[in-house]
Amino acid sequence: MNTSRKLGFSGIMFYLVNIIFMLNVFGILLSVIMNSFGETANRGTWLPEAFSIKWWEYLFGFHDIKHLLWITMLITLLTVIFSLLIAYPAAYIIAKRRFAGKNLIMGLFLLPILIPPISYGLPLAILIYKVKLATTVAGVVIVNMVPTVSFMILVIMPFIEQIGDNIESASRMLGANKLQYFTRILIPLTIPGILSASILSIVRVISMFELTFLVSGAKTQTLVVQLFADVNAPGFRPYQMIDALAVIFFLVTIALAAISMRVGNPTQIYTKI
Amino acid sequence: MDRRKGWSAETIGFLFPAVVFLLAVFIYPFIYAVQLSLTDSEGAFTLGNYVKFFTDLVELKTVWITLKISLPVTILSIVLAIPIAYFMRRGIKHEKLVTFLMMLPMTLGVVLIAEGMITYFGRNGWVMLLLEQLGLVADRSSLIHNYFGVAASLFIQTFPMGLIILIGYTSGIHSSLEMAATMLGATSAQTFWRVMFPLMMPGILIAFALNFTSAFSVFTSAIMLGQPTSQTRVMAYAAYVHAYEYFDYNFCSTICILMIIVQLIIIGFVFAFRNRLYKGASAVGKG
Amino acid sequence: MKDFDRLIMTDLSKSYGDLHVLKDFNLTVDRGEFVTLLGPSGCGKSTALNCISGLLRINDGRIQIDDEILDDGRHIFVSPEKRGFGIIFQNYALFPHMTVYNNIAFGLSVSHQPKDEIKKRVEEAIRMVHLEGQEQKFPGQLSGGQQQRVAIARSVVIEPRLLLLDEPLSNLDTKLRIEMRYELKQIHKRLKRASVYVTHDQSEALALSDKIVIMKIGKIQQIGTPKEVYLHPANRFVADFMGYKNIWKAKISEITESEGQRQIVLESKGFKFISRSTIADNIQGDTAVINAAKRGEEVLVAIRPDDISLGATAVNTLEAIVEVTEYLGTANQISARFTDDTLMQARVTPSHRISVNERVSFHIDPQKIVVIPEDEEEA
Repeated sequence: MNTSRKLGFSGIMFYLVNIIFMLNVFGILLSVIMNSFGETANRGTWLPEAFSIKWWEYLFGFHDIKHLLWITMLITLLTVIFSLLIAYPAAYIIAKRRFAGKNLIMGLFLLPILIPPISYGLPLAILIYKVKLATTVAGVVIVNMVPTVSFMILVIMPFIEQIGDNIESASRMLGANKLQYFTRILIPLTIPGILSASILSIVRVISMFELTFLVSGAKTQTLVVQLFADVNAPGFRPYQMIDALAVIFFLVTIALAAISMRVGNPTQIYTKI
Repeated sequence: MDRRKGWSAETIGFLFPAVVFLLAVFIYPFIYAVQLSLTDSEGAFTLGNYVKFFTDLVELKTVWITLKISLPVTILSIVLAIPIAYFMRRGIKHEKLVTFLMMLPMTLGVVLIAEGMITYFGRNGWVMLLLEQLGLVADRSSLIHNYFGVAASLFIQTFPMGLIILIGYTSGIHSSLEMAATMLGATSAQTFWRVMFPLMMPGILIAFALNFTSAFSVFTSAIMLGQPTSQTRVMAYAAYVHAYEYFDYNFCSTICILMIIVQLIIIGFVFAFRNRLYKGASAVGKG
Repeated sequence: MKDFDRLIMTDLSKSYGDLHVLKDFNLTVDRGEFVTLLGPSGCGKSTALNCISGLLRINDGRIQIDDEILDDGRHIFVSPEKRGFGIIFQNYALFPHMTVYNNIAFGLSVSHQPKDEIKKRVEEAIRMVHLEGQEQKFPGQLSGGQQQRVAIARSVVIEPRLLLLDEPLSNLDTKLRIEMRYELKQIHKRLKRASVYVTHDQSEALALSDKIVIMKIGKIQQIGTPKEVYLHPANRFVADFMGYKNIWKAKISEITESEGQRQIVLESKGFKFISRSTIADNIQGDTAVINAAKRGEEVLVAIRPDDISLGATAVNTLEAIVEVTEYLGTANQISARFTDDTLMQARVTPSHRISVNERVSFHIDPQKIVVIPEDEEEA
């Protein structure tokens, strides 16, 4: 689209910054993958001196990977399902109704996305400890729901907004009650929004570190928290093993992110703010 | 259709779960933290926590360290994002793929990137190897576990977010405005500085505010890639340590409240300011 | 659903804050009647329709069907899904994710009708709107006219006791609009259900209605049969809306009545006019005119461009200087200027050759001159 225009300063910046940025990101990811297959610790060569899968075997002996994946999936799915149940009706009201104090309610829905998790996460975690929900699945799900509910409202809202008001009027005039309108008209029409909100939320929850870290216990650690714990664990844990764990996390996340690209535009949330 | 301004039973019922949930787990913890910050461990009212924060140099220094990391990173990320967003305003080839790749660090999360950076920027990592082979360094040393490590990680996290927000704004500026400026005889530099840049301003402000608030609560990378007990003892880390190692919930809350207040002021200021700018012309997002 | 005898609206009002969008609205719709709410945009016609449907609540007044109150602006309110009305929207509002068949079946299906009953009635409705063979298509695959047919079938298949139509033809092109207008009339004849139709197009209103309600800024200006509102507008607004392009101030010099005929002699622009009409044709307007005459006030004469002919006759002859002529095919449109500097619009047969700046004589049939009161400019 820019073919007829000369590159200019902005074009040079675009290629320069992006290439440097992406080379480093790929370098980071690639060196993790390489290292996880190294026979010995890297002593300053481009490639490992010898390839081996022994650290992968070591990892599966060291951690209960199956449980780790299971608990990650469980927490993620519960968070997304409960958030969706809460967010969908709220998104409908925000998209379709006017009422006094709407801006205030919108502000309440926006804040958990605007304020970084660690700022509100610490007081929240103190409370979660106080009510004895810390280290439980319920506790981890509740804290993760905070930004997810907000996120889902913002993603779903435009999908509901674009459905004409007359569609609901027509459905009512044909005798449908609210439940029938939701189950037979509104929800089927907003399936793309629900799908895109869900998958984007799954990706977010899986890589959401701070909130889970603050309230999870040994049995409720997700992949990302385990990864952090391994890096910072006192005493020696072989780095190749940690890299192998990082690769597992990377594969899970990238697969879901790739799916999310198919059903929705992950950038849309940022253009709405 | 229904233009009633009142709260119908439906409005109340449908908003109820979300509002109650967020009041309980988002607003209430904040109020609870305010209360904790104003009491001592016995529960008696005191301003001591705040007095301690502003008089204890160890604590006060966390503000300086946090700003020293977050402000330069935010400014750099926005300054670099402006020309790139401008370049991408009419869309580019393979835009979806390019944005996906740019957003990769955000998608994968700070922990994975930081974990990778330990290997990549470490003493035996590829960056050191490259610098050594280019003859730029004589001795190998680690690039991380210091200020640079944290700042670099923070940049990798915040740069894509600011960029995405800015692209949303630039792509919403109608191309006819630019054409009109060109037809009126403006050079491309004049068009940028006198038309496009002012129209991008609301987006720049929003991107700046969001990047800064998120950089201001830098936590994970300060632990993984810095020296959290000294050189990179940021506010969030200090708050965490007070709660999780000294079990001083009152002081932890004090730091959190101070962080939230700073973040709220910045967000509030930028949103208030944005509403006074040319919202109409560039309000159409890319969506 | 059971048919009704009468839909009665009494003193309806609807406002948003200080903005009154509907005021003193009184109207009855009888069994089987086709009533049109006609007026320019913002006149409150759609608001009135939405109040009848129940999609909007009224602030004051009463809507009732026979003895059943639907909305009294206070405690009683029957929600739209329980009123048993059907509605057709300008943009059709078809459910985009459902086939034509499922769209039409929707109303029957949500009221849990038996499957074979649904099938029978949907097929019948599809035949009625000539959509055979399109059952499995989605709305997006249909033309505008076909979508409109689906919308009609969808709302009549539930056999509503009242059918509401909100500018249903406005989104169609001219040719299709006239076709669909004819079909709507056929369907109404067949179903014999009362209908309330909203439009800004006077030709639609004249062609379809039993009764026309002309509205302006939330208030009813005149209610009458198409013939009544067309031939005997009650005030300046209605006259203007009905195409009386020449509305001039006039002074009444004499009113005589005999054998059911009324003759009014007036003077306007220095010419003498005679207007003849049947007493009781235009009660609303005439009473006001007679009262004005008694008080010695000025009134208005309204004349359509088509009712002005070339040449002088014994009565109602006037002269003006031609300024512009436009050839329209079936007629010549003439703008001519009087000595008092006002303009007259006339449409005459194109056979006459008229040149610009020529002083020309025109005449008007006394039966075609409408006298209306001057003072109606109230909001």
